[in-house]
Amino acid sequence: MKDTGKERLHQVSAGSKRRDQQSGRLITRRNFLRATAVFTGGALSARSGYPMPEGHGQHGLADHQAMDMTEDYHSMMFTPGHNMEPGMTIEPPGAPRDDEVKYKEFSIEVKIARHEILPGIQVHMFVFNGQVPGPEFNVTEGDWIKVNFTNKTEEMHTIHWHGLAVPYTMDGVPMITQDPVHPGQTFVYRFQAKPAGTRWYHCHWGTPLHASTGMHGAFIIQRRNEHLKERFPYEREYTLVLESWDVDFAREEMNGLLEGMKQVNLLMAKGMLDPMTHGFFKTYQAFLEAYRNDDYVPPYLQGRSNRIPFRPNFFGINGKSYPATRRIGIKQGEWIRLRLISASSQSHHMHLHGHDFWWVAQDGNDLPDPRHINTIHVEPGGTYDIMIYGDNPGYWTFHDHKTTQARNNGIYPGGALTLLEYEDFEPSYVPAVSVDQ
Amino acid sequence: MLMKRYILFVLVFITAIPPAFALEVDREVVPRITLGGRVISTIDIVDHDSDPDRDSEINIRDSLLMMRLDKRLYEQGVAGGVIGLEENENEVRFHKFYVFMWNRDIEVQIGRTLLPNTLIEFPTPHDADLLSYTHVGNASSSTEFDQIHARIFSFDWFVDRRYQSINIWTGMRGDDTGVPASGGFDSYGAGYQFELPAELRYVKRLGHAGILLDTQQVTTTSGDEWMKAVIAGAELNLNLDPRANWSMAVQTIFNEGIDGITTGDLNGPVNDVANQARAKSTSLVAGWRFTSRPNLLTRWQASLSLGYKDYPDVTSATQWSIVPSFVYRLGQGVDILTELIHTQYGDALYGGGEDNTVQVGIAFSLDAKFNDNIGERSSILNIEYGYIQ
Repeated sequence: MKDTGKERLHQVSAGSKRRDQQSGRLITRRNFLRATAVFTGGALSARSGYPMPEGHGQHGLADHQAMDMTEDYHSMMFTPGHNMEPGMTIEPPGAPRDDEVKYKEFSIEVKIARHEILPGIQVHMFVFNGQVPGPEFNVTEGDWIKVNFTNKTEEMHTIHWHGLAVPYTMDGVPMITQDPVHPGQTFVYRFQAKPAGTRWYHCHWGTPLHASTGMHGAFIIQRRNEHLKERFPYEREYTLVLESWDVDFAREEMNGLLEGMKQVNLLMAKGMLDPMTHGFFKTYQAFLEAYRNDDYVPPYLQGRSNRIPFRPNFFGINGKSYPATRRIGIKQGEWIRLRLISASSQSHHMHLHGHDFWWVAQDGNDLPDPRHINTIHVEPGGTYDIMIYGDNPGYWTFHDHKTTQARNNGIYPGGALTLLEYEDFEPSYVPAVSVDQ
Repeated sequence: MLMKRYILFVLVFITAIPPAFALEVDREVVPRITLGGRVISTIDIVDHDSDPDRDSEINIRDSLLMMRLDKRLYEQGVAGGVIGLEENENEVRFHKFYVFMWNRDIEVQIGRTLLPNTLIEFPTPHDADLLSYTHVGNASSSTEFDQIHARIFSFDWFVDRRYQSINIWTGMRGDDTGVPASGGFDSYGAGYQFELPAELRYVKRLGHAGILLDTQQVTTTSGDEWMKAVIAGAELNLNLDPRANWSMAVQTIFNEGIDGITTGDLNGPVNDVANQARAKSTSLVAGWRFTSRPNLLTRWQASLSLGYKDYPDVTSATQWSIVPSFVYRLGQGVDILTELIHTQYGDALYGGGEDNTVQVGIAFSLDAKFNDNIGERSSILNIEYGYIQ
């Protein structure tokens, strides 16, 4: 959330050193030198854009054949003697080399952390850089982005850049566009930040657990000249990532998964992991043959746990449930922009008290005609931008009007609920907190 | 007058109870419910010199149904109860009926459950297939049930919160008619165990090891005596391949027994099992198992178990057994199984005869949780006898 202390992932630059220290990210001398170069050259590069190779049209994909790195890139899973050693750095083809464009370079790691949704409710989650949601990217359209993604867990992961027009080799879908990132490995994602708007990113491996619990974050691509400011002259903007958790499902799945991965990792370390051990098949036909020959038993035939229903019992905004959610500040006469991102598996119907607001964009793209409403229907995977004008001083709830989701484990109020708080008025009554009505 | 006061007191007391309950503001919370069970049914072809009257049969021993209910505590920990029914000698008995409480440091159990008189589970389909070798016998009962179950109070302290525990317990072993028994708290024990969790089963060589002391009071014609036994054992992986795993287990029991046990006692037609428990003995069991787990899914297990037991105070009182078994998993929790048990006795036991049993059957197991909201230390089936891994 901008201007409210929430950590953001900024480009590696001398100017952003303080934030990097806050997020615990190490800056090596080499990175620093590279970062300085990026800082000084990034703007020009972004403005000019990457010169498109002929024949690649508007998608701007670099010439795969021209990339040296393409010769070494293929699906490890089906290569004899495939290498899943920790410490490997995977650099896929499909994007310009470091010396061809000026990248803004970021580092993200995934690890297991005990995230506190509410006092007393702590859940082990896979998380980006130790936080839920993951750090927010805030870049400018046209920037070249390089993300060094390191897997510090015993499970496999990827990053999918949701809503970004990246080269397909950077799309982060395991077994379709890349091999999963194995424990201890680093995968380098390179792409150009486009199109502008509210986008996000999440893990695409084991998505119901990985992405829905902790591995999600905002990817905001700013326009150089934001024309929406002409009609809605905002200065402050907030990102609200909506979430839903079944904490019992998360615990059981995590336990089961880690138990299984102990064995899988053992096989990996010994070089004994055959594709079928983890259900990897080169083609659908290969899967079909394995099944018909009784060589493989698909796990969906029996399931993996006792958890039959997935029943979210906690709901949140930016990793927290009410009353732990952070408030949204506004001043009288001020326009603010809210970027709503649904990392949730549920629909959320966010209603603001005391105000109508303007719905201006969906999935990062501007609506032709902004709509004047007070309840926005946020669907799984979607992003929604709204503009709020401060013309009614007070404290106003902004909450999921599917009210069963404004609860914590069935106790109202809670969940996806926060306050729009006017910062410049004298209240006659100050909000208190009730955790059981 | 006195009667009126008494009636008035009772009425006041009764009417006072509901408001007292009404003051309870803590709403009822549905517990976690775990349903576990196994139906194991085998066709047993038997030829026993030790029990010539025993016929071939359809054996449903060890079939059981269990339910565990538990809740979180206000402080750290979980508490609940387990109720279990088991088929036993053509009757249904409550083989589990205990309450428990645990947290990361300790676990307490009170009630009827498994006696801590054995350490290692061997790969035989029934827990009693090598009973005389694997368990410290009950000196006051010859029934199979009383060799395995008892009312106990146990306290386990997980010293490192993970793998190592120190165990102490006291209990009341069952006794059947015809055998002198002391009653009351007639058993005590203590021990140390190292046991890895299931997720490390194929990662480390040593999975389980420990040493236990078992004492029980024995009533004889000359008074009560305390009989001590020491159990030591270990399980280890012979390889670390989770797809094709070789493992072995070994356990020994030294039972100091009491004096005066004769050949006749060991072969008695009624109380031979209890008397064998009273005799000084040394037993050793070793088991090897191969588990085939293609795609990390258990499909079949082949095993061989060997047992040897010696009663040193009685000449030629030895016995040994060889038990090959095979289990093929038809589906999750559905196994077809077969086993051969061959036991050879020394001249002082059952006339030097032999017992042979062939078992072929099917087992169905279930382990299902409802309203699950607790991180678990172990599966409910892990408190039962596990014949396949």
